[in-house]
Amino acid sequence: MPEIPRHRGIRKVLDNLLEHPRTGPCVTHHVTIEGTAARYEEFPDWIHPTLRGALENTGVKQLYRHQRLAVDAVRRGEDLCVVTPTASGKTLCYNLPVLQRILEDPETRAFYLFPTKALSQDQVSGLQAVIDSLGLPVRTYTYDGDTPADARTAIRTRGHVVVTNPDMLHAGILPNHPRWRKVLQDLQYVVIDEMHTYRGVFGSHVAGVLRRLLRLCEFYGSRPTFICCSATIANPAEHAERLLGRPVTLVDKSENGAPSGPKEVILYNPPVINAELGIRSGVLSQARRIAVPFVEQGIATICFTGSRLHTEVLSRYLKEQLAKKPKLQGRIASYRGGYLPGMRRAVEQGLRSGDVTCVVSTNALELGIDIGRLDVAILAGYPGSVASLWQQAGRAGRSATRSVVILIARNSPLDQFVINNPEFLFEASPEHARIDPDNLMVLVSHLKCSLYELPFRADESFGNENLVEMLEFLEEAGLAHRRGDTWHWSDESYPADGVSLRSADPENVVIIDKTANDRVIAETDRMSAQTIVHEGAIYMVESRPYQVDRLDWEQCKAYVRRVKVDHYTTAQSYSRVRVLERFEEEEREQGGIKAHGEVHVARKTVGYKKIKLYTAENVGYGDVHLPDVEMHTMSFWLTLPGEPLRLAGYRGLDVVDGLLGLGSAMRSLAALHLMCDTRDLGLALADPEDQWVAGLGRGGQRTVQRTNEDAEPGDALELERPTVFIYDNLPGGVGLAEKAYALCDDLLEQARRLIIGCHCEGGCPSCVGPIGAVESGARAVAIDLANWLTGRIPRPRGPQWEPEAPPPLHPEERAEAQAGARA
Amino acid sequence: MSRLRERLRRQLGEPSELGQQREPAREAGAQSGGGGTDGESRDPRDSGVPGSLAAEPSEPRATPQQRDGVGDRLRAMWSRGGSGRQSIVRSGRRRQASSAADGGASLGTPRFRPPGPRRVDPARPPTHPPVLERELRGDAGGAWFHCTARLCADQRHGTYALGRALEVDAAAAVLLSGDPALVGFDPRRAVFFDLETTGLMGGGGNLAFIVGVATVSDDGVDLTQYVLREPGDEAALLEGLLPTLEAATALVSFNGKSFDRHVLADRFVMNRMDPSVVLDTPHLDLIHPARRLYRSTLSSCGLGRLEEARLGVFREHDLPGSEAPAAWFAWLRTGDASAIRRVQDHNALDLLSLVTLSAHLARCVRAPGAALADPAALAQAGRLLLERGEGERGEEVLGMLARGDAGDPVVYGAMHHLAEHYRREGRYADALPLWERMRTAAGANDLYPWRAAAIALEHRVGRQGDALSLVESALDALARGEGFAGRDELAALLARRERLRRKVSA
Repeated sequence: MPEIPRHRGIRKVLDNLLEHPRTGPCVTHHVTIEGTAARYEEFPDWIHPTLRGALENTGVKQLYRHQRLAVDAVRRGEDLCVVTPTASGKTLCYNLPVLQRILEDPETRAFYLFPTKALSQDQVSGLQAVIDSLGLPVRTYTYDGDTPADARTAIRTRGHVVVTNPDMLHAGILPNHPRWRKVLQDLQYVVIDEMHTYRGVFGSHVAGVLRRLLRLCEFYGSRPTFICCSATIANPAEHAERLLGRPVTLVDKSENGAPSGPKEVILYNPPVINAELGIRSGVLSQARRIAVPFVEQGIATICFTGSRLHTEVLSRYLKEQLAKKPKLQGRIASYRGGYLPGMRRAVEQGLRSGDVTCVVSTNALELGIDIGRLDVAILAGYPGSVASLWQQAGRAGRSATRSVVILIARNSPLDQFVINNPEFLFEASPEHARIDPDNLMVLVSHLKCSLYELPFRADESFGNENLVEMLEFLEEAGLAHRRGDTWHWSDESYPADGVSLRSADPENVVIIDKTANDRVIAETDRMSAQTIVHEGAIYMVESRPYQVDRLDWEQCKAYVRRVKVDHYTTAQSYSRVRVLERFEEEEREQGGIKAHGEVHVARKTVGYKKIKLYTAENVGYGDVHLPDVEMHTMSFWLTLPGEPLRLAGYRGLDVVDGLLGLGSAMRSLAALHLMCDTRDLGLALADPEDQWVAGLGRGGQRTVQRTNEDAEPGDALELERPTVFIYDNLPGGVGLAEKAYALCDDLLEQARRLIIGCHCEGGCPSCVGPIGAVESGARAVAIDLANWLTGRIPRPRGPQWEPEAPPPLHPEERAEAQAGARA
Repeated sequence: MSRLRERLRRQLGEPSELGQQREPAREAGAQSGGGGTDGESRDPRDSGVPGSLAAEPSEPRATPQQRDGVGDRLRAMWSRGGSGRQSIVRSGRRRQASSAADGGASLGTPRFRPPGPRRVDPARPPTHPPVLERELRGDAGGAWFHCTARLCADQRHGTYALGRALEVDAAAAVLLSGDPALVGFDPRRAVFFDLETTGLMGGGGNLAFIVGVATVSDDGVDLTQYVLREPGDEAALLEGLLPTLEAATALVSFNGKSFDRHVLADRFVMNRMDPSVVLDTPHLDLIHPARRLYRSTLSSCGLGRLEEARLGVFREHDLPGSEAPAAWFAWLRTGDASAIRRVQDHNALDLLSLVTLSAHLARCVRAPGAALADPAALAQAGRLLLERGEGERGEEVLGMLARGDAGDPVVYGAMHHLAEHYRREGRYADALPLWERMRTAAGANDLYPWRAAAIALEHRVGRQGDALSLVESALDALARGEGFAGRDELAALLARRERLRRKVSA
């Protein structure tokens, strides 16, 4: 890999940033993390001379310590989990043992699993390049939905390394295992990269898929070794063990032998531009201001943004500002999911070769795509988790030079919290990855798939539930047929089709440029399509704006044309919940009614705001008319009696905000208890009798409206039965809501303590909720409601009451509470 | 409450009833013992399941770490209703559109179309399925219904006598398939086969519940169906089938090369048997030559359409293939064999049609003029012969067609292909008159005969002057608006004219 030329200008630009009267005061925290020297180990003596020679030819003369530990463990046949910071040479941890084995025995087969199709295609091109440069006779293929039918046979019989994703393994490979018998018979390695992404319900499903894989391996007489790679999470070994259902050897980041240079970390809080409203300057304009001098000096810079839209806007800002510098022409790139593969490859290649000086990216470049290392990472907004933050920060940092990471805070409670509590970033342990493979619905889904794949005998086991009882249940349901102590699948359906590992709609919407011969310029998933390519939206690709003329929802096509505009758009949407059936309901002693049952959830996109470039002014609003994205799922809900709230003096919108805040805390805690991801649970406010709906009105402001169309909207509306819903955020549900129902009292009490104990002022994402969803008074209302609902006070105190300052927490306690809230 | 839910609740609330329905079948089997021979009147399930075959379930052992009570929890989740219930039992795609309407739940007895009133159209005499003899074969480890019929060689199935399949010799098989592996094809040692499967998707859980095979000899056709009683009997069934497959030097199927063959191979793998007996045996799949011949003539090239249009086979009360899985599952769950017998009839007719289709297609390539009345199909046969290296016979077929009115698109197409064939063989004397007739018929609307003739005259025959005048007439015709040429085509013509002018003047 050619080295990107080094620049001595970093120091100068940095000093200017720190000392300039405009920017200097914005730096709230500045620390230097000392670099570490490389720790090397010799190649193990068992390494095949061909492989060793090939590696040495590409400049790898010895191994880093963690690499050596990893390959030794794999060599001993141990299942391995290796925690790898960005760019520490993790691919060698699995490629070396796998290639070694293939050289020893050409019949060896391996599966490489990556979480997404895009990532596996990225990886296979990289992997094959490595293999080709090593001159090894190893064949690597991607197997996914895009693989042409005529190539599939060759892959099944001839491919040494089959690169795929869990969804394809689940629905394409395992059910058709007789055709994969060659691979399954000789399967020696299963590599699970980016293991930390397999969490929550998705992770639980992946664990189910792996159980099925292991059953088939046993049938074909193979016993593969698993090699898992994970970014830093709090519980890598535990997570790997739950995922695989067997113990693993952990190579922790403390064993990391990859060298790193000193890294300066700067927290930057943009200046206040409206003191009365406390509004700070926008994160994008600040990112532009900070990035430009680095890029002008030719310093390799990566900017991470929080969304695809922000990636486009920021890269446009930078391109426009640097347009006059001839030597920077074509050296500023943008990168995100939705770009066509060729576009992404070109940027990756440009970064490795140094042709691209600056890239603006979403978190798409946070995962393990090889782009070499850069000098400066600018994070336009806190990425939402400590693990992500350090993954992104890891993109900057060469072994020999000083690198710089600058985190710019947004105008949001979470970012402001983080920037004011830097120990949160440097001391708090990163997030836990949680899964529950024995969630009954997930377990039974995969039991059905596994039964389809292979008959079950009574003496087998599948998960930690009684297998025979589950099989007897399937027999009663008409899906299984028993003979003696063996059960066979007996239904004409293909069960894997009915089980989706993730809630995302696999359908893609292609974006077609009408002004360039109907060329496809990008694609997006159907869920996001409503908010990014609705009619009237400004859609940007590589910073060029297109206006969407038509979104053909049925055909999954968006037609756009090139335009010249100075604004962009952001969509406004909310979820509406309707009760379909109550399974259980109970009046609580302390007040309110808890229930769970089946609900209908409709995600509505109501309109969009036009935001002017540079000034970020709101310059207009448009309506969107699209069908709701609907699903049936299961929900837990808590209904408050309206009377005491009214008597206490609360208006409708106060209650909405307070209850959403309380619900948000309960959701975080429910995710913790149910071992799922917060994303797996949805949160909404609604009337269980469907008389009114809380949503967004024209212009995007929060409203509460009678469902009767004639009624006046208004925040004074008195709510008879304000209800917060926490629902399974995937069609059909997996039973999380029912467990939340059972935990209701605990959740309320813990939520109360969490919010009271939080040291924010008006409410932050650590306590009452995600960015922008609740007003700043929400914390007080939420505490009042929580005190009432946990029986501490007989009735709510009302809007005049101010909660006391939180008791000082021991720092450890605080970190724990915060980690809990984020998990 | 929806009807579906009601049904689900009923089904689930009365598991004992399901059990009871299964028991009498076992008892009846224990009494009657051996195989019945009166296939039409007796339910194969009732007719011979010896009691010893119905293995008593042994007491299952729970592994120690497994938690108990999960069955009750699942039942509670299910009985509570809602989409949660669906998620437990809901499964993926199935064939029947009707099941999509009830949410994809799998329970309930399928409804079959009752046989309609009898009305014989003299132009479409119904073809009756053969009468099958049924016998239970196997042992305590597993058994299957072995259903057989022997049909005489001169018995007609539609318009063809079954014995005519013996005319499908190695030459015909190679011609039809283009597969040199079939060079040793012997109709007496080939196995015609067709499966009925429980799913469409392939894979571990897709069972072949009927494996229908037919062999042809001078005495006639031997038709055998291996009918699976329940999933656990599969290994025994495959063992029973194995000698027939091992004896086969070739397999004959309709669309079997891409579907049935793989399903059967998967079944062998699932039962730890070697699938090469299915995968490595030379395979003549008739769907490809049938499509080749009839794609422009018939609205579809499915077996049903071919039967009616070319084989004179008209089915009465045929059970659509899509309903076959439900019929087998009904038999498995309730012992109701009425529908499975109709699947057997369907499969038997498919097999016999496969036998006569092979005879028909062989005749089409051996004596196309006699076998094919339709010029478009005839033209396809001619092209097929040329492609397979049967130049002389292909020329004969296309030549006959080419003598017709060149204004007819089929005739014109035949001339085109024949001329191209001559050109490839360097027989310009034969090609040039065809090109000339094509030019006369199409003028400059089709530049191919002009271009092809000009190239041949210029480079192969050495008649530059004639080539030049050809090109000039083509350009004149275009100039008069008698035809159309794309920009590139026109440029090529002009360039050719310049070159020819230089050559001629030199």
